[in-house]
Amino acid sequence: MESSFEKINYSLRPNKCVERKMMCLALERLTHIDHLHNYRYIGLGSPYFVDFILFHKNLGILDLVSIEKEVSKKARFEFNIPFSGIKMHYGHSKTVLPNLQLNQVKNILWLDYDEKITDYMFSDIDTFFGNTMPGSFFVISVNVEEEYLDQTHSDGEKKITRQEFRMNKLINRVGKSRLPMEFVDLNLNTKNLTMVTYEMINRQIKTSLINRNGDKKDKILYKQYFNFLYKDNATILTVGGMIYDRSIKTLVEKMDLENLSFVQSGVDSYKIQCPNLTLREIKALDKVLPDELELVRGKFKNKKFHAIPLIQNDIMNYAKIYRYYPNYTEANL
Amino acid sequence: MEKQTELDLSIVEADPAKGFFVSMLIKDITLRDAIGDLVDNAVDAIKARATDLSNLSGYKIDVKLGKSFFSIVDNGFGMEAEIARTYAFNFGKSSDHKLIEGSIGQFGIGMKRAFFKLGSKIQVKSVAKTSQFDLTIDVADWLKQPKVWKFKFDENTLKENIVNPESKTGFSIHISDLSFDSKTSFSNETFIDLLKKEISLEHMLNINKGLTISINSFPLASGQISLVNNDQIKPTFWEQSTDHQSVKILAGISTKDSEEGGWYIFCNERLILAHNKTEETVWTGSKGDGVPLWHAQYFRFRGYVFFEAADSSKLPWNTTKTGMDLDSPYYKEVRAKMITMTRQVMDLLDKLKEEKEKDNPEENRTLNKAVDTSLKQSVPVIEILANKSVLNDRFHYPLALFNPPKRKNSIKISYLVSHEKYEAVKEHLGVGSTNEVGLSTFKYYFENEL
Repeated sequence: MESSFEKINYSLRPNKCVERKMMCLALERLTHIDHLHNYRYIGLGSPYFVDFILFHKNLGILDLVSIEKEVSKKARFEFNIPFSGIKMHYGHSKTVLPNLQLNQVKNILWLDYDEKITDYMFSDIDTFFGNTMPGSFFVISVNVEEEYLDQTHSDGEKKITRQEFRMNKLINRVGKSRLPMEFVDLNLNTKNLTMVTYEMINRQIKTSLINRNGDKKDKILYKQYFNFLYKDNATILTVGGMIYDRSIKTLVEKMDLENLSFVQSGVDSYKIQCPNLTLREIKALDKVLPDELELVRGKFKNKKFHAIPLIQNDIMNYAKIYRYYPNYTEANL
Repeated sequence: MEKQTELDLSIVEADPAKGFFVSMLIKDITLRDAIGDLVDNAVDAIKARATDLSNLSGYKIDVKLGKSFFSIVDNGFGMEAEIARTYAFNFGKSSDHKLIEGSIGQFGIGMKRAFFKLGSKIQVKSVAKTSQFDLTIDVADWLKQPKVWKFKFDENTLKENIVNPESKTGFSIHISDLSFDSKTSFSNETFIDLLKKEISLEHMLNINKGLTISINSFPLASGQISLVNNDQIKPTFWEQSTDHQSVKILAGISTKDSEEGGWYIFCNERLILAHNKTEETVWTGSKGDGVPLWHAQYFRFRGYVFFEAADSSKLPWNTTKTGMDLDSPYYKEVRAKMITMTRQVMDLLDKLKEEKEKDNPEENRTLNKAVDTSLKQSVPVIEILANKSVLNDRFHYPLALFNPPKRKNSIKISYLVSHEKYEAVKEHLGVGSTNEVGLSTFKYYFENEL
């Protein structure tokens, strides 16, 4: 079977690239809590190691752990390790994560799954929230693209509707007991699957923390900062936030993550939509930005935009992410 | 019933009919649990007397199940008359009673409930350090007096402010006029056998420390709980303690055993759950909050939880001591830990299975071999706990030996042909099997046509 990294060249997904850079900017602020070289980054492997390179170069994290389930391709992973600081752990995240002594060090975990929400992901969330040291940061990315009912599909004799088909798919992956009652009649298009996925992740986080806190006075808390939604190929939802206790509460406030434009602490997602632009267009837009993007009678107030032959939407989307926009060009390296 | 001459209309009658009360009391307890309760009380009395809690040799509990009687005799601390008077024979303890530290009999209802379950004529004899007494309960008589909830010491048996030598102290209960349940069960060998097995399991830690518990003169023996603990494989360990209570958890592997594998939970050294494989511990199935359902892959798994509390009401067990209190925040917290620790061990168990898959040749299964060798060196859990400083909350195993089957760079072809044509080709090729026929014909095409 082809692995996802063989289907997609990770570094060529522009929206994901923007998301990574935004995350990096937010994670920099963890310095308020501790030196970043005291943090450990735990990621799910891919031979491109893009996240590892970014976090090592930009954040200076030295302790990097990659969990990789494809043991049979070990030689390829070992060959591609970009820095000596990366330790490979071969096996499934649900059993590797518990053995990483999460309570001994502050962790930044990015569960960057390519799949749709599935039962083992809840076990990973549970392991992390049940054990990680306060001051840790959690991020999860899952595929929330709606299921397409292929015409030939039928459940035995009886044809099933697209709605039933989508619901069955979800139940097969997460089990009936995890699916909140109020959602059982939903048509799981991308919008609704995103909402249900978000809700199930949040409920698991809450339950894991309740179990961990027991009847202790000093409770471990979680605050969400990330809620990204973007589509390079399939739609991906990324949720994440900070795990802390009373002793570092004021430091968390000092991080002041809320003032970053892309931070979302609620149920609404921040949508990343990189427009496809030519280099000339990019250069022209960059020259005008930043800008208030004020509209007068449906047109940009800043007349310099009028000289650029792009639709308004593309300009707005670009302005949101221009600082993080990836530049791709052919090069002989 | 005597007719009351004056009625006080301000009083709401809340006295339950005694007969109803007794029948409710014994409804949700099995005969085996009733006997278990009395054994627990005897163990408490012995531990209260023992000077060295790690060595209980010389202490005895003797249980007899006869045709017409039940008896249990121990050489523990006895019960002081004051305790009997103020709470031991009360229904539900008063809140200010003095506790036996680290006890297992704690709900205060256990002894009386056991009496009523077993029979209707109960004779108790106690010799404690500073007092002694006999007490007889005739349940039939007692039920006839609806307003009386008291029992009386037998005449001329109560002595207080005396000094009894420790060698003389002890407690005995003799019950006759057996209940129908007791009579039927006591004449059933299977019942007695199950009782022996259950009590020897429940008190395995105490029996291993030298306590003698005999049932119908048969001294109970108990196996050791053990885990692999060597240079290569070390169990994962976690503990948490406050001044008055503590919990320790160990998880790892031992011999492959479909029955003995699972989680064991002890409360003050009394086994509450043995080789548990249900959602009461961690095995909820992957769609639940725990780990996948118990199956062959996990037969080597063993987990042990030891709850200790000076005040036994702090232990997260249910009132019949047959399971855990699933709503207790304390148990929820510990259970979350147990789930994590099960997953830690599963990391090895999953790999052992993977290594055996897809016809991976025997000699390639290096991790399986290392584990099989280690399994011969299981160590008693008590020894592991005595040297717990070398353990941490990670499960150690020789990951470097993991050698899963390589994905083959080959393809399988299959097709159907008629029997006659097959036989003809087979004969022509001079080979014996369908496999060879297939390979030879493919080889022929490859060599001659490409």
